[in-house]
Amino acid sequence: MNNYKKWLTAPGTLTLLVFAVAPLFIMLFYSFRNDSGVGFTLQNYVRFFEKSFYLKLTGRTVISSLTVTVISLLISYPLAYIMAKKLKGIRNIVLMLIIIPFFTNQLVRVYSWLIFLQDGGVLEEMLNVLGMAQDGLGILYTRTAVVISLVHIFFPYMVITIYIALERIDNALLEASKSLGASAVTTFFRVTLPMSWSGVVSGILLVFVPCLGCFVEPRILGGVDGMFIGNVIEDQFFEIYGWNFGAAIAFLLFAMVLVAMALIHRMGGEKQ
Amino acid sequence: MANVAIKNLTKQFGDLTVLDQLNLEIPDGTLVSLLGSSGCGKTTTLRLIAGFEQANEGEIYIGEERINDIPVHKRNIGMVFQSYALFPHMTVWQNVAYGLEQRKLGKDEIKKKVDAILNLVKLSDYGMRKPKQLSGGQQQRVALARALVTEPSVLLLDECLSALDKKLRVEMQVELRGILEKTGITTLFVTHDQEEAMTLSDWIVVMNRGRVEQMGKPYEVYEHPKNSFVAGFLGKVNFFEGRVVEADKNTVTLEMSCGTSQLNVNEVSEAGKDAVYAIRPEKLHVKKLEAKDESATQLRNELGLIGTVQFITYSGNLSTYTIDCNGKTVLAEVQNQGKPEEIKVGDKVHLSWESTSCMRMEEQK
Amino acid sequence: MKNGALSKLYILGILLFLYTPIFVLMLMSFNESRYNTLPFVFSLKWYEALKDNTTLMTAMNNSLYIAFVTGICCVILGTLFVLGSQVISGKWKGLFSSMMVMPLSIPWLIMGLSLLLMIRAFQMDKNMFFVFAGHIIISLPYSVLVLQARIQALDSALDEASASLGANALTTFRRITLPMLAPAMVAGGFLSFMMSFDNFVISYFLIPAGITTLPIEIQSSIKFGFTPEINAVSTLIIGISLVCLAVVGAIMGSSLKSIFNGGKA
Repeated sequence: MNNYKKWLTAPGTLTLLVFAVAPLFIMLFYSFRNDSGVGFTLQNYVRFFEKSFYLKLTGRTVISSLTVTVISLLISYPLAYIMAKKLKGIRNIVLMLIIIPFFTNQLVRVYSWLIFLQDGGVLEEMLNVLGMAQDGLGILYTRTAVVISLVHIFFPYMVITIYIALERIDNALLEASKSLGASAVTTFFRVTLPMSWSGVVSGILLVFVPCLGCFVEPRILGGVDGMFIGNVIEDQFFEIYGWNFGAAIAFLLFAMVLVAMALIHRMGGEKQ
Repeated sequence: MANVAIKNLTKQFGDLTVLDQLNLEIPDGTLVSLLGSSGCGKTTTLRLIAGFEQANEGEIYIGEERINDIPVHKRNIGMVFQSYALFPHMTVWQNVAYGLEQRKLGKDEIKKKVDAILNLVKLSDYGMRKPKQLSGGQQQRVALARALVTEPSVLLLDECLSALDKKLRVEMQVELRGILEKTGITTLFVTHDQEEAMTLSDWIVVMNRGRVEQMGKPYEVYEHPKNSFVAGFLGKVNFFEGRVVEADKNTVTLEMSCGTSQLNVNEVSEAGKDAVYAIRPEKLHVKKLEAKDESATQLRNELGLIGTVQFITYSGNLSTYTIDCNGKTVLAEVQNQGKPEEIKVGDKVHLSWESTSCMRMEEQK
Repeated sequence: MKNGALSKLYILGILLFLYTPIFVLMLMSFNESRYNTLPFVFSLKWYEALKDNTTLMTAMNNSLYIAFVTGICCVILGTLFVLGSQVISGKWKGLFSSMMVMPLSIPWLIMGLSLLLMIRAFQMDKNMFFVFAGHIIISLPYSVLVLQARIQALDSALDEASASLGANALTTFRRITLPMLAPAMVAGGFLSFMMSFDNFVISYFLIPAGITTLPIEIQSSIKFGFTPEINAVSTLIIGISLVCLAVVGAIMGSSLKSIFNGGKA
């Protein structure tokens, strides 16, 4: 009698199939298209792998994304740990404060760094006051500026996932470990970290993958030097009109995302 | 009110047969408990009667009506869930009125009935509260009131006392029994707690692996269990399992893996056959054997077993002796009469019993 | 105790990092200077300029409209989906659920341009239908996760209890399921609304010529030289978001957290 009920999933599933899954196949189709419009070719992929420019840019994109992920992890884990295990009264307020920026426009947040970091901007004035003056900060329009703003945008995701994992750990387990003679450091590495590992893994996923595909932040803050692979794709679609080539790069990016997700999931699998 | 009859009911989940040709009759106006360990099919039986699951084979009747194809909401059942399933967004009063509203009763009639039933479960002053603001026992009574107020043909109770702590559970058992007696409703109660089943039921149905092992009055299934499963499930029991070497009027000589013993029993088996006998620990008489005692030789000649005490556990009203009789471990429970027993660990004791206490089990498998 | 003070200092540092740029932006919206530089001279002139900037106002209206439609669609699709997936079991359930949240783990860049290619493959012009489709795709997972977390927390016996009391499926849905899901529908809808309202990438790829949204306007302002009116708009957006967040937070409480682990748990 419940049989009809499962059809309720159909509208949502169909929407996803038609507007999320099918377009990916169309993208794949275009990536093999000839620019002359007839027949299929591997030319678009060959072109990508022939030019060291694209490979270098891909490499730099991956390295920058890894940098963002590692920095995010380094600042998020201690914060999540303090929130989950040390704070009592103000825990929810801190949690709120971490979550609130999710609801501010991402573009606005990037733009705020533009204002903050610009030469003659507020940061420079602040450093001036502290006597660490230096005319022209030179941070804006570099890869550093992009990394800073990406960390700023994505690290709260990691704080939340790690916090949730840590909060679930029964404090008695930590006490049990200590009662068995383990030091605080041993307890951390043998009990706390393995048990919060799932949160670390989902955090890495939520930071690393979007970084790979970003193009707005590099465009605004990165200058010539700070471009990501996403910017090349954007240019192919909006400036150069090389759609087929753009589709090929986008598909390679998609493949990278899938590989990254598989690798990160495996990280999760080993520890549990 | 009506009786419930189940005929050849079979239910499979995938490859797993949960109910296997189940037959069951619940007489009108009685409280029947389905008793068994988890996975025995008792909850499935209940859910089939309620209509949450569909049977693969067999029939379910309430009164004269075959209800297999009637949807849940038209079956006129009342059910109390293990989690109570009180609607959290409604007040107690609204919860209880819900079923009456579905039956399209007038406002005045609903009010009259809800007030009456809340009075019966002693919750008249709690009508405006939300379920969360009640204690476990109170929530339980709301769930019961909600199920009873529609005057269903059958009331289904699913492990509904198991969430309460022990003291409250015992109180609620008594209260439940009182309320159900007042309403005289046919009730099916699912539980894994044998004590609860004994206290509450007119009839107990012991289930195992999707089949009924035995149905009977509480004392019947306890005093005269049909087979070793029933005997072992209800209360403690000592089993003697082996091949009958010799059978006499009231005694058999049983060759067991740990040795041969002569037992006086309620019913003898043919010599040469395998047999299982069971005796409950409280039916054993324990006598201490003094080395030089003249009764010793006398006792040795009497029927029964001789063994050495290995452990004694004291639990207030009872002392339980774990006795090693030639490699066979036997439990014996003795009522404490105020003076501590002389028997100590390591003592030799003689165990005897009435022949009616040692029951032959129907063969298994 | 020293340990505790250190912890608090650390939290303070992180929060400064998180909020300083946003705070500076808000501050600059009240500053006289056109170039976002100090010294600070209080002025409301950028807010006054905003009033007369019809392009921005139209963009704001369009964004609100798109986000509203997206939010409603996501709540409906999401609610239907989680209700249906209750009765699906085994591997299909996992497959369906992970497909629903798939857009969370694919960069928007890819989602946006693959939809653009789809429009092209059908030889159509860019149109609002695909804008909505794109926005719904990337916002739907948020509604689904919130609703799924809620429905999993519900006692499935509630539906059965309702049926056992004589209510048919429709009545049970109306009187039990819907009221129980309502807070999650509001919270999920709000999240989807916010995702759509803030979204730049999807609109950037799919919006028809001549139509604009707030994020697109912000982006082009940044690209073609600063107008401090953007600071004023941004400050307003942040303010309005916070008010909405407070309202929804009051309704939904801590279950917003569930978004982040709803997929796994």
